[in-house]
Amino acid sequence: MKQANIITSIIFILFGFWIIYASKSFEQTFLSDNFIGADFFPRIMAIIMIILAVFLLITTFYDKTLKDTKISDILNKKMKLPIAGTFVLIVYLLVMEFLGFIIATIALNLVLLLIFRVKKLQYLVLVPLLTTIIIYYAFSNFLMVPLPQGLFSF
Amino acid sequence: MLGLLFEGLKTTFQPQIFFVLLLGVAGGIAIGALPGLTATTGVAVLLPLTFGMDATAALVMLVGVYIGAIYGGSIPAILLKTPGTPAGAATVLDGYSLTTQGEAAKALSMATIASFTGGMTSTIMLITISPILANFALKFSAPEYFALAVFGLSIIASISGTNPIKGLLAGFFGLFIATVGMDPITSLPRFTFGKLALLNGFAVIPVLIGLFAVAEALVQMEKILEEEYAIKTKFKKAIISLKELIKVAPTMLKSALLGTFIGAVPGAGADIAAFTAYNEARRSSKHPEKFGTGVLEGIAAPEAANNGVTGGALVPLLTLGVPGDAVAAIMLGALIIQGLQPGPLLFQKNADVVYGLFGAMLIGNILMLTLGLLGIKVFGKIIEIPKKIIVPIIISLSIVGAYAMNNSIFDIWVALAFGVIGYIMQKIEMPASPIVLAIILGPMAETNLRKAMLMYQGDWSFLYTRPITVVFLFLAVFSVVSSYVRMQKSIKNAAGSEQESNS
Repeated sequence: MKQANIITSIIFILFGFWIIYASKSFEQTFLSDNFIGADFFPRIMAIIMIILAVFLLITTFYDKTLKDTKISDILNKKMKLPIAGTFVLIVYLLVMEFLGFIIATIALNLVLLLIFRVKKLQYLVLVPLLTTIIIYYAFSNFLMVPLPQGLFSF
Repeated sequence: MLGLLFEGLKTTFQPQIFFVLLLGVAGGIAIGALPGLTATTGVAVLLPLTFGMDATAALVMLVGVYIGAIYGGSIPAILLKTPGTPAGAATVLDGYSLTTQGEAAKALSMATIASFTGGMTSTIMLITISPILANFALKFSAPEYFALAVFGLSIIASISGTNPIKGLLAGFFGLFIATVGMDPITSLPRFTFGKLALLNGFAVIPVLIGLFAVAEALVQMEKILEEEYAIKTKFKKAIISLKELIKVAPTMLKSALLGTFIGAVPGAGADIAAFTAYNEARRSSKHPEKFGTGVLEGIAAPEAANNGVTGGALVPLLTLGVPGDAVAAIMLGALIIQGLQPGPLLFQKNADVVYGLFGAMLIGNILMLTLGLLGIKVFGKIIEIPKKIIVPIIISLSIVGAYAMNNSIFDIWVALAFGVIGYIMQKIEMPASPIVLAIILGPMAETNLRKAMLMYQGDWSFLYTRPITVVFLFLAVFSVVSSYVRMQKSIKNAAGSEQESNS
């Protein structure tokens, strides 16, 4: 966790400074009764965030109980499927507006099952179809949520 | 009050309300029983289903899921040695020991009855305490609410596991998320990068669904290819006897009250309650050495306590508008979606909803008991559904859930982004619950601070001249300091024991 903690603190320190920088652009309104402006809260927040991150950095160096796990032990092969899954979801979101909810979601479920190496044909057919149709029916008829229809509307 | 409660019970028995309650409890048990899906995930995934319902039905269903899921977590803990939810982890110790002795039915029935006792006790406490507390809270104005929100935020430190600093950092990240969008007082856009979609800020629901459902799905994917199934254990049919039940009754009641109390403290949830009650039961037992070998108290204590949390967590939610844990935070989101403002006024303006909820909790616990006892033989089947099938379903539900709130594809992107953030946070052992508390409490803190400044014409004196404000601010400082001291102590202990084992 040591490396991870150090990287985490650095990210939060940079993030805090960015918040302070970005909050500079919040123009003050000229309301006479506005005692603390829109930038007050974000700035206080960012300052405490930086202090905490520095604190984490210092305690990480002094904490001898922390396991000396390298960041490479955390980011390892195990992440292959989650990364693949995220990628599939990004593609899904990009094509959903063209394909419409039904086709895109059936495809999404099928692709996910395939990358999970599900081989049974009945699962590959039933899970995508049933999931999509039940969700579509429940949301568009029962809850009146208009899901994207895409080019091929039903 | 009894009259209102009677009306509430009557509401619960309306066919459609009763149906959503039954659906909620049964669905909750199934979700809790699936290892990896927590009560929080369950409530987050099912929340969108309630958008079309009226306020009472929506809350009734969510509270049913909550009750069911906390109980459901004990089932795989007992049968598979894998807790379905973190709250079920303490039940593994004695529950699984009994299963290895062939007494799974006894263990399951014990867990069911203990959960029922915990849920009922805490519901009764909720019904009696919260109207009084709400009455008291009616006197609060902006400075008190600001201090209360700060206190709620300070609790983040104590729920953040081994490293409170990391939890606090997560909390501050949540505070940042909450400031995106128009400033609550002057409507000035903040951190929106000129994007129209961000003008209203990040919608809470997609963020929650991302952090709790999508992130969980990504975590589950890591191990999905090596998934194994536990060997079916044979079990005797005998459930717990009346004599045994009477013997564990005091432990059960004590743990139920302990759980209610822990649940009512903002921030502390079912997992903490379960372990605290388990330790307390062992400490006060005449035969502490037997704990872990399959004693019934070892199941009764954590199960009564974790279901005790369900009622407790709703006390600050309903009376003060401050969520007691992550599930309560999502329910707070649900209340707001329904156009209700959680807090003391809820008891005056929407008494029907509040008492409908109370009624549903009483009936919901009875339903849980019934389903639990009838289901002992079926549970083996639920926990065998492979994750490979569950994960795509969770993802599909998350997508629609994120979309449904504003009919916006942008919100699905938000859910996906927060799913990835939540996944990375799990990797670096940073808790996600603080983000939720911060998103809810951050705007409450900021708005009330600025209102207080308006009230006091720019003078900060409200911070030390109003007694209730002072008390909350003091509690906030105390809670941060004490959790830091606790962390230092545990580091020292760990270092000490390491040295001992080295020498």
